[in-house]
Formats: sequence, structure tokens, C-alpha cells
Amino acid sequence: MRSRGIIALGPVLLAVATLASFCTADSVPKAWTPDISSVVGTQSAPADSMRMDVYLDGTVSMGGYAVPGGNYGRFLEELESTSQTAWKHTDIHYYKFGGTVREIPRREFLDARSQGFYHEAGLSAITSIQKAINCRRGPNVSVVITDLFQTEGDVNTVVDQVKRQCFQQGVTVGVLGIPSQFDGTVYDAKVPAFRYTSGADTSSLRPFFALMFGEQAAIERLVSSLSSLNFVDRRKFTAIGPMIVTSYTVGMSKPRSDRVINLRTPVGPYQFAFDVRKGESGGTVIDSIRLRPQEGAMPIRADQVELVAFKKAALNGKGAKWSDSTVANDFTLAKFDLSTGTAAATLNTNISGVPDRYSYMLLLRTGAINGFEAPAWIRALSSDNPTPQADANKTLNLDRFVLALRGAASSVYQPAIAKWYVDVRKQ
Amino acid sequence: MRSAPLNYLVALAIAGILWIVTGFWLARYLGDAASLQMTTEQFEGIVYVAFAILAAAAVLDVWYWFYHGSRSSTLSNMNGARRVWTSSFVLQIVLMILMLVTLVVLFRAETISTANYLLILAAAAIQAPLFFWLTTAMMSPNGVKYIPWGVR
Repeated sequence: MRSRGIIALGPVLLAVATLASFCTADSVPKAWTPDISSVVGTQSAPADSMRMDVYLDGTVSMGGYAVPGGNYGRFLEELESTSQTAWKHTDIHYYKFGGTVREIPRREFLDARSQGFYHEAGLSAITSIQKAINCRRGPNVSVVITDLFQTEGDVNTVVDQVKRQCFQQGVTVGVLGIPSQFDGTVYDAKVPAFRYTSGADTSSLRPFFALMFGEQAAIERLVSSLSSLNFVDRRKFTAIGPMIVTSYTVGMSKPRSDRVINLRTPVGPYQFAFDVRKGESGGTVIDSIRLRPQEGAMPIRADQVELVAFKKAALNGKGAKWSDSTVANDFTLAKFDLSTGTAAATLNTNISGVPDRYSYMLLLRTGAINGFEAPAWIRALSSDNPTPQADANKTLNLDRFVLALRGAASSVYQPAIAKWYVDVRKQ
Repeated sequence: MRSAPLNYLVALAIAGILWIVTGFWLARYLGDAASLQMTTEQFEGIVYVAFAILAAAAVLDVWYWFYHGSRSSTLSNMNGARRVWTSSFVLQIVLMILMLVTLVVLFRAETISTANYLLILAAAAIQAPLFFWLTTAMMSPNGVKYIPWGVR
């Protein structure tokens, strides 16, 4: 009876063993360790304390903002208190700049609400924003308060300085526009200096700007705190730095017309797999990318988006070991559509090489040149020729300045939109 | 081989082995051969489950036949026993066809050739009616061992 039982168990054990061998046949080591920090940055604990350097433009062109009860004066009054709500300890240092820069006491900073502040000999004639640029990583934020009224030459000088001092250190630049009452003279336009007085209509207000330099999280925190002021609109904030995405998700599908690719179940949030059918090499996949942009990220130009593919090949045919990665043309971006809330990247695949296992890291990034559009609020406040008759309250070359800053930042580090991994089995 | 529980266990083992061939291998083959809209794993999973259900139904049918054939009352009514066997065999054919129809419906969005559907039908025939005939022909209780077709 016992021997009969053993004979009967034999086929059962055979079946289980065979099944187990099939189940393990596809479990191969991963070619990549998924890491999306190059897209979304690394999250660090927010700092408790912050050093804030406030540089105030002391040139005559700023005098018109010193209107009693105006937004400019209120901003200067509230800057200290709002920054102290952003961090437990804020160490604020004030500076006055124009042709030169010097540190000033808090009392003198508050005098900026009156016209007299803007008539200091040797300082008030020329605006040298580049002298006020102070970029340091860590718990430091530098805020430059100015009208950003710059000629083309000024734009180039400042952008070059920001690129070298800030973007190359990985520092983000924030631009916050604040419309304010104005009663004074507009200098440095392409026409002779002219007088401008804003009216009761909010569209007649003339903006000044807070240029912020620091780490993205610190700038966002400051803007968030400042936006508690009723005249500060955080929609008029733009951040220019190495990262433009806070988080993202990717989904992979294939068009109905494709007969070459069979998708496999994703093995992780950023890890996908598909098979290329026997005798084929190329097909089409669609990656749906749901992006959560960084606060103030500039709009991406979809036609400039680039795809970079890095490839590894299985060395022994089963994927136990992988080759070093190389840049490959096996995936190309056929179309990138940002018209809906979710970006859709249509990728053409042409898996080169013999039938085998391959693994890819795909990086979707913004264009190196002209990768972004100026935000709507920047375009609305900008003019390439403010005159008393037209665009009198607009800022000369503001869009040019912001786009140039973005271009300089992208030349140092092209912001990534998404990164994901694809395992391919070519039959 | 014809007495319980050995015939029950051997029938179960044969069904398991057949499932590996018909369900597992076939699913893997079709997963590569067909052009799929669903993921390969979803497709294979459906085939695994469909063949597992078919195999389970076949095993239960065989076990019922073993039970029925071993009862003393069955020996006094051989015509009734013959009807039970024939009905069970026909039931397996019906289940086989039902499974194929179900798969055709589930895979209506997929591109699967007629040849591959015929392959599924052949595998289902092995898993259900052929399995039923084979196990009952080999391992039916002695009293009903000549009832399965073709056994002399």
C-alpha cells in the first residue's frame, strides 16, 4: 500500500517540479537600479533656520514705487515678518545696491518707503543687478528687489553672471512679480525718460520684482509665505532651476495597429517590459506621463522635447549579467503631446541586435535650446518698447530676460521630464 | 491501479501533467505567437485559468465515475452505468467547446490565428474528453472496466 502511494505521488512531484522550473525561468536580475532623483531631485528635510540676504535696488528708477500705502512699501514692511513665518529662525541682512553694493541696517531698509532713499550719490545712477547676485547652496536665500528694467546688453550681462554664479552651483532662481502703485519717472526705456502715474485700475499698476536665489524648496517656501499677502499672487512666480517636476507617473500602452510588440505587466512604477515578436524589430509604444510640475515651472515646448535611450544587453542570453550601458537609437520620439493634462509620448522602437534580452533606460528631457515658453504672466508684463503711449507700465525685455535665464540654466543642466526603464525580449 | 485511492490520485496527477502541457506550454507559446492588446501575463493567466477549470471539471467527472463504478448497486444496472459514462464523456466535450467559446470572446480584441484557435481546441480535447476516456479506460473499477469505449 505504501509503495503504491509513493508511485502515485511520483507524477505529482514531477508536475510540481516542472512547474517550478518554468516559473523561475524568467526571473532575471534587473539591469538597472531605478533612480528618478535626476528628474525630481532629492527630498531633504526642510531647514529650520535660514539666512536671507535682501538686496534692494536703490537707483532713481525705483523712486516711483515709494508711494504711501503702495504695494511696494507694504512688501518691504512685511518681508521680514513673512520670512519669519517660513522658518523658525531667519537671519536677515539688508543691502542697498545700484552702481555699488553696501550692507544697510534694518532702519535704513525701511526708509526705502520714502523717495529720499533713491537719491544716494554714487549709487543711485546705475543699476548693476549682477553686483547683487549672491548664490549659495544650503540654508541661504538671496532676494533682489528691483524693477528688472534692462536693456538687451544688461540682460546678457546679468544672465551670464547668474549662469556662472548660480546655475553652475545647482542654485534655482525665482522671479516673483508684484504689481504696485507707481508715481515717478521711468528711466532706461528706448525713449527718453517719462513720467508715469498708476491709477485706481489694477491694470495700471507697474510691477516690481523679487528675484530669489537659493534652493528650490527654500524659494518655494518663501513664496508660499509671501503669498499670504493679499497683493502677492503666487501665479506670478516662475522658478528657473535644474528640476521642473515634483513627481510623475508613467504608463505604457501600444496602439491598436501595432502587431509587433506584446506588452508585459509592469514590474514597478517606472519599470516596463515588452516582447518583440519573432522576426520583427520595430513597433510603437505610447507612454502616458502624468506630471506634477514644480511650482513656477515654465511651460515646456513640446516640439523641443528630446528622448535619450541608454541600452544594456544581456551577456549570457538569460539576463544574469548585463553589458555596460551605451546610448542607443533603438527608441525614438515620434510625437510628444502636451495638449491634455497627461503628456503622451509616442515612441518608435527598432531593437537592434540579435534576438536576446535588452534593457533600456529612457530619459525624456526638455530641449537644450528654446525648450521653454515664457509664462503667460511674464508675457503680460513684458514689453520690448515701453513708451508713454503704449506699455507704459510694462517691463522692458522681461520675457527676453526670463527666457535667457532659462536657456542659461538648461545649458548647464537640461531639466528632465521623466525617466523610466524598459526590458525588451526580442524573439 | 483500479482501486481507490490509487486511481483517484493517479487521475489527479495525470490531469496536472496534462495541464502543464496544455495550459502552461500552450499559454506561453500563444503569448509569443499572438499579437496582443492585453499584456502577455494577462493573456497567459486567462489561458492558465481556463485550462485549470477544464482540468478540475474533468478530474471531478472522472472521480465521480470511479465512485459510481465502485458502488455495488451499479453492478446490477450496467445499462445505467453505460449511460452515466456516455453522459460524462459528452459533458467533457460540451465543456471543451464552452471553454473555447469563452476564450474566443475574451480574446476578441487580440489577433490570434485560426490555426492557433485550433491548437487551443486540440489542447482542450486532450485536457477534457481524451483525459476522461484515458483515465476511465485505464483505471475504472473492475465492475465497470469494460464500459469505456474501445476497452475489451
